[in-house]
Amino acid sequence: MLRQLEYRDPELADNIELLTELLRTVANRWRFRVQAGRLGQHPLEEALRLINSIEAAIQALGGASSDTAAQGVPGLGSSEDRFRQLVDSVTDYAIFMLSPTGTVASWNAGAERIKGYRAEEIIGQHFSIFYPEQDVKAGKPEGELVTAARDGRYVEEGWRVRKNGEPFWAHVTITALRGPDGRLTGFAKVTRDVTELREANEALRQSEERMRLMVEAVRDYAIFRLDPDGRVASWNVGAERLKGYRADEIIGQHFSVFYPEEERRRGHPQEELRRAKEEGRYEEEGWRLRKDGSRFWANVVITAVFDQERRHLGFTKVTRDFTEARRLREAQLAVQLRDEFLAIAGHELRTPLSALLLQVQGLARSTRVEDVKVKERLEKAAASGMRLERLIGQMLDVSRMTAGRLRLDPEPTRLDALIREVVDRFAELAAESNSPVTLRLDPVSGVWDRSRMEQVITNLFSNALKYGRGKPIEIEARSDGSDAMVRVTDHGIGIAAEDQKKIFERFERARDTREYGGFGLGLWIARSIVESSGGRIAVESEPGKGATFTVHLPLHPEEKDGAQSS
Amino acid sequence: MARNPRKGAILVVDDDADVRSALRDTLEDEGYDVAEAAGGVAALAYLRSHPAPALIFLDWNMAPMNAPQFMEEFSKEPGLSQVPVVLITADMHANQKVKTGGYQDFLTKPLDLDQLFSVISRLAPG
Repeated sequence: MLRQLEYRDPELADNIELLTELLRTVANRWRFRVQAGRLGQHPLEEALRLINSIEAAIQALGGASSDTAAQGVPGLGSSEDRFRQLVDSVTDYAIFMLSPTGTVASWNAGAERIKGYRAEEIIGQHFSIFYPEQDVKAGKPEGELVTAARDGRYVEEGWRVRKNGEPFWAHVTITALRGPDGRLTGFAKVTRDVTELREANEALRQSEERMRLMVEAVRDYAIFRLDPDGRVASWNVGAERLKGYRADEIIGQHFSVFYPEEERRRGHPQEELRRAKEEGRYEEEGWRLRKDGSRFWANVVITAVFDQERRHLGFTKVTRDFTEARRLREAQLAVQLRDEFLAIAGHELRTPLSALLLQVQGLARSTRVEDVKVKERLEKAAASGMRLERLIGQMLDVSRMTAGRLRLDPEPTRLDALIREVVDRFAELAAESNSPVTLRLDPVSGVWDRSRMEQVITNLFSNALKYGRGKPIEIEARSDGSDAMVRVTDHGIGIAAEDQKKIFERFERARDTREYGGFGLGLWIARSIVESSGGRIAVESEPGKGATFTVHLPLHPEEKDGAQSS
Repeated sequence: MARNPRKGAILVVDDDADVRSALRDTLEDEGYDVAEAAGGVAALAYLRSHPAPALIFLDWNMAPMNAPQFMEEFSKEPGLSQVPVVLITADMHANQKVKTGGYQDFLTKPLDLDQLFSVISRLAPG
């Protein structure tokens, strides 16, 4: 049979063509199997088989090319024999002959492996047995032979069926063989199982498609490609949204249009590409321009893209709008600076104020009793100084608390006694505001920071005096086993529902500053202390009817965040 | 004028001149002898060159020698173990500092004059 092949296309050319194609297909098949991670259970054995096939092919090729020199040398055999040996040994390809009518006339190891038939059971059968039923019904096998006979060759990929009925995707070449007289003597058929290749290709195509769709659909990131010179080569929705250009107006333009004039002038865009190419990746944050000329703060990552041979294909560029993030960072920095300033200012203000207070209080003390007016005014000055001192104290507390530096020193404390002390201290003020104070205090003992608890009670009580002027005030304290409860109720102006959450925030108050003085920090400080002590604070109020503040505190401190006792 | 010249002066140690002179004025109005030191180092120099004071008011936060550093040196000085030291601090948790620091008592800022004089009459009775 092979002789016939040689008749049609004598000597090397045809063999070389066939071998080249075989080798190319082997190489492709293996590349895709490796890329797709489909190496089977015995990859080394498969690789060995591959190497053997290649060696056999090279031997055959070398034999064929040195055929003239080898002629007549005993033992080397003819190139025909060597080629037959090669064909027989090939297992990855079904190589077989058909009679002019399509019956199988020869069979190699690869044909047995791929199609599942042994030579003795298939030789003499019509080759349409390898086709799916519907193809057979449609007369496809015969049609292929007609085409091959007419054109010399028929090539296709399509479904074929193994002996066990399993379909596989085949690459098929049918070559018409003719005698010296041009009469059709049969066909050579080479069939390769490319199911895996097809699947790998399909998987690759699908994954590329998914990737493309995904990139295109990303709205929050501008993702686009640059050619090696920096011209825009692709454009996604995010890029359009972020930079304002449509794909058709930006593709092909140099990416330096995204940079502010001064960056362009100092060659920064080119510098970025140079570094990306050199280091593989370049990242920075900086100002970029939108189409309308407005600036945004961008986070930019440029990645150089190379192919397998390290040829530079261009760049991918991912740009994100960090303007908001930058604003947030700046705002956080400003807040931090403010808190630091408050802390420093507080300390600095306190010292001269303490000297001033001492002078005024000392003067008031040493003023003769008869100088009623002077004494009174000095005392008022001292009272103003004390108020200033309390405000500075609050300021310092806030900066400590926001910086997480609130220090708690828990010690055994009688809450009811503490409340009584605070109320006593405010007796004068309470009388002045004409608010009768009712205490309903059970003995409540727990472990708390005494000074800080005093501050909580003071803040709640002074608020009640401030906003409940002229109305009665009730303070309750009791314990329910694991928790202590303190409740301060006034019958003053109350707090509107929408303000009830706000009043525990910093610098927030429900009422106008001019009407009621203070920083609006008292409740925030109270809340910070209570929460740092593991408790909680809440308010119930109806405008016009007063407010009730309720504090729940665990009797013992828990080891938890925020309650540092360093 | 001095109430108790035999017992020596009250030494005010504070690195702020305004605070020192305010304390001096207030105390002198009440008839006490007052000496000033602008810090721990100056206070030690004073103590080494003068008769022992009746009482020391010591500010907590001073540079370069703060109250604890002063106390360490002070405790090594001979003949001063009977001199009471009262800490002045803005810290509401001063209680803890006083327990271990070798101080007889403490006053928190802003100073309350009644408390100030009651501490003096208790620790340095004239």
